[in-house]
Amino acid sequence: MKTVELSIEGMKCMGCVTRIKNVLDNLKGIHSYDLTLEEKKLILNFKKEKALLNAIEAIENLGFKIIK
Amino acid sequence: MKKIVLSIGGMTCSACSSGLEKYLTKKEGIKKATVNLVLSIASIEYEGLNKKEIERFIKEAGFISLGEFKKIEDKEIQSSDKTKLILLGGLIILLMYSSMHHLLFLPQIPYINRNHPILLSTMIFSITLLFLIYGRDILKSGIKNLIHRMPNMDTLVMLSVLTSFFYSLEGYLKLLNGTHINLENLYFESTCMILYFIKLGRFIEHKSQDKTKEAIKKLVQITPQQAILKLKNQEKNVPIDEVKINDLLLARAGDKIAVDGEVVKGKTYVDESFITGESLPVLKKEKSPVIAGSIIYDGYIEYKAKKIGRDSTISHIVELVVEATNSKNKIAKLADKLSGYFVPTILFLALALFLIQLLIGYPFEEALINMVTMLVVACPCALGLAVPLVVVVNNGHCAEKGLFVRNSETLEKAKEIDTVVFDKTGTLTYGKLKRFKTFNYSNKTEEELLNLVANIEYYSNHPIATAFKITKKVEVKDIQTLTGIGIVGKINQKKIYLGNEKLLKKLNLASNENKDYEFLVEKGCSILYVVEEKQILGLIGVRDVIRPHIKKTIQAFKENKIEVIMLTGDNEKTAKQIANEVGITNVIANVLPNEKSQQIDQLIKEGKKVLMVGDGINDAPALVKATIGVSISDGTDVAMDASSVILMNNNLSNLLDLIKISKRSYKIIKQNLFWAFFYNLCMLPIASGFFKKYGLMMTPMFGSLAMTLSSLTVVFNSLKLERRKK
Repeated sequence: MKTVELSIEGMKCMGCVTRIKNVLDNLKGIHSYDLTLEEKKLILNFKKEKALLNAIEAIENLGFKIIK
Repeated sequence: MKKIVLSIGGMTCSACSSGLEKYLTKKEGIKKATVNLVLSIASIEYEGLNKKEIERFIKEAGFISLGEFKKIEDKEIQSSDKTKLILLGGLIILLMYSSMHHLLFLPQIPYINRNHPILLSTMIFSITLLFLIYGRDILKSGIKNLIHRMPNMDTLVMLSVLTSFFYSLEGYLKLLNGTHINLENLYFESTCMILYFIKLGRFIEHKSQDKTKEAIKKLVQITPQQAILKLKNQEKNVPIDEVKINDLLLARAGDKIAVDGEVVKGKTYVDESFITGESLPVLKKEKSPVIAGSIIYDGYIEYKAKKIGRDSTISHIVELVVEATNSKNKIAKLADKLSGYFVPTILFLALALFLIQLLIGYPFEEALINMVTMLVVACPCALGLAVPLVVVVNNGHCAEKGLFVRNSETLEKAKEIDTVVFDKTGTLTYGKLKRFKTFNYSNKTEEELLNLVANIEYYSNHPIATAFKITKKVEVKDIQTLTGIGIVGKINQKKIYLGNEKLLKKLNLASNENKDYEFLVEKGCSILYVVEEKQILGLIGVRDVIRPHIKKTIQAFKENKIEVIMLTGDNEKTAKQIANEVGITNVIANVLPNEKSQQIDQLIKEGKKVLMVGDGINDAPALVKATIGVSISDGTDVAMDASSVILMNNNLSNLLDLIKISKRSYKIIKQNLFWAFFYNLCMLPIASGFFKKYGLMMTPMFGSLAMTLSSLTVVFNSLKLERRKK
C-alpha cells in the first residue's frame, strides 16, 4: 500500500470537495483517501501507480491543479 | 452550430463554474461553453453532439443538468398553494365534524354519517386520497431521509401517515366486502390532519423565506444586458457579451453604463447609489472611472471598456454574495433534530411493545393492531405548526418595532449575538451631506437665508449643493464659479457669494465669530460662508450627519456585553471622528468592498456570532456572511434582499429589541415543541392497548382529539408572546 500527499489548488468551497470526493469514490484502485478543504491537502492510499495517475487526471479534469 | 442553455445543479462557487467551463470547453464537439454561477446555467455552443451527451459531460464534471433553462415564476406557485390550502382546510373541517360532532352534540350530516358506514367511509377515503396526493412530496422526502439514515420531520410524518393509511385501508376494504367492522378502526382523519397541518406550517414558513436569491436576481437585473458601441459613423446596440476591452461605448441621459470603464469624452453626473448607498451624484469627466450599472443623469459621455464580464465590479460582488450564501452553514432546524431522535425511539418503543405483548400472551393480531395504533398516534401534527406560528408572531412583534424579519432562522440565531458590526456611511450616518449647524448673522430669518443659498447652489456642481433645497424660487443672474472657493450670483441686484474660508480672504473680509468657525471645523464640517456684497450673512456647516439614537444604542449594546465594531471603506481619520462621537472604540477603516466579507468571515471563524448592519451593495456579501445581516431601509435594494432583517424606520436602537424579542420567542418555540409532543405522548399508553380491560381503547377520535388539542395549545401559546407585551 502506497501513500501520497498532494496539494490541490482551486478548491473554494464544500461543493468542490464533494465533487472531488465523488470522482475519487468512482475510481478503481483507490483504497482510501483523506481530503481537507482548509489545508487543501489530499492524502491518497493506493496499490498501483496507475490508480494514482487516474486520480490526478480525474481531479485535473474537474478544473483543479495538483501540486505534489 | 447549435446552442443550448442548461440549468446546472451542484455549483456552489466560482471554482465550480470555471471548472465546469474548462471541462466542457476541452470536450470535442463543444465549441464554446460559458457558465454563469449566478443564474446556475451553462450556455453551450456545440456541433456533432446531442443533448444527452452534453448532459453526460456535465455529470462527469461532477454536476448535474437540470434540463433546459426556464425562468420560473415564483409568484404563480404561491397563489395556487394558497387556494389549495383553503380548499383542503374546508375538507379537514368536514372530516373533523363528521368524526367528532357527537361530542359537541351537533347534528350529523345527512347520509354521510355512522348510519351509512359505507358512504361515510368512502367519502373519508376519497378525501384521504386527495390529501395523500397533496402531501406526496413530504412522503417521498421522508422515505428518502429514512433510507439515508437521517430521519427528519418528514420521516416522522411519513411513518405516521402511511401507517394510519394502510391500517385503515385494510379496514375499509373489509367494510366494502361486507364484513361488519367497527368504524372506530378507520384512522383516515389522522392521515389527513397530519398532512394538512404540516403543509400549513410549511406555507406559513415559506412566506417569510430567505430571499437571498432575490438579491442575486436583482443584481443580475441591474447588470446591463446591452451596450451601445460607438463606431466610426454610427452606433450599434450589442449584447454585453460581445463587448471587448478598449471598445468605445457611449451613454446618454438615463442610460446605464454597460461595463466598467474610463470616460474618454464628455461630462456627466452618475447615480452610483446602487453600489455605495449614497445618493450623492458623482461627477464624471475625462479619465474618470465609471462602474457598470450606474445611471447617467444628464449629458453624454463616451467611455472605453476596461473590465468586462466576470471582471466587472458588480460581477465580483455578485459572486461574493453567491459564495457567501452557499458556504453558510445551514443551522439544522430544531424540529428536524427532534424528529431525528424521536423516530428511532418511537419505532423502538412500538416494536418493543409488540414483542412484549406477544410474549405475555396477547393474540398476534391484537398485538399488531396495538403497535400500529401507537405509531399512528405518535406523530404530533402540531409539530408542523410549532415553529412557524411563533415565527409569525415574532415577526409581527418585530414589525411593530420597525424590524422586518425575513427568515425564520433569525429567531434562533438572535439570542446568541455577541458582536455587532456597523458600516459607517449610510448606516451610522445618513450618507448624504446635510446641514449640521447654521449660524445666522443677518436680520433675515433662517429660512430666507437658506433659501437664498439654495437658489444659488442650484447652479453649482459641488456636492455641498445637495444639502440645500429651494423652498421658493428666486431669479438669479450672473452666476460665476470661483474655482476652489465657491460660487457667486446676483439676486435682487445684490451679489451673493457662497464659499469656504478662502472666500473671506478673497473679499478681504474678516469674521468676528471665529469660534463658530472653529466649532464647525472641529466637528468635521465642510464650511460655507454666505456673503452679500460686503456683509457676512451667515456661516453654515455641512457634513454627513449621524443618525439619531446611535450613541444610546451602542451604549446599550456594551452594557449587554456585546462588542461593537465599525467597518468602513472610508479613511481612518473620518472614521475615527464619527466613531468617537458615537462611542465606538473598535474601528476598521480603509476596507475594500470584498474585504468586508472577509472581515466578517474572520470574526465568525473566531467563534463569534456577528450581527452586521449595512446599506450598500458592497455590504451585501458581508451581510450574507454574517450570522444575522441587517440593512437600513434607505439602503440599496440588494442590501435589503441580502439581509435577514430590514430596519424599516432606520432606528438602530431597535436592534436590541430584536435580540430581546427573539430570546423570548425561542423559549416559546421550545414550549410549543413540548406541547406538540405532550398530548400525543399521553395517548401512547392508551394506544398500547394495556388499558383495554378498563374499557379505555384507542380510537381515531382520540387521535383527532389529541391533534386538535395540541394544535390549539400551540396556537394559544404562541399568542402568549403577543399578550405579554401588552
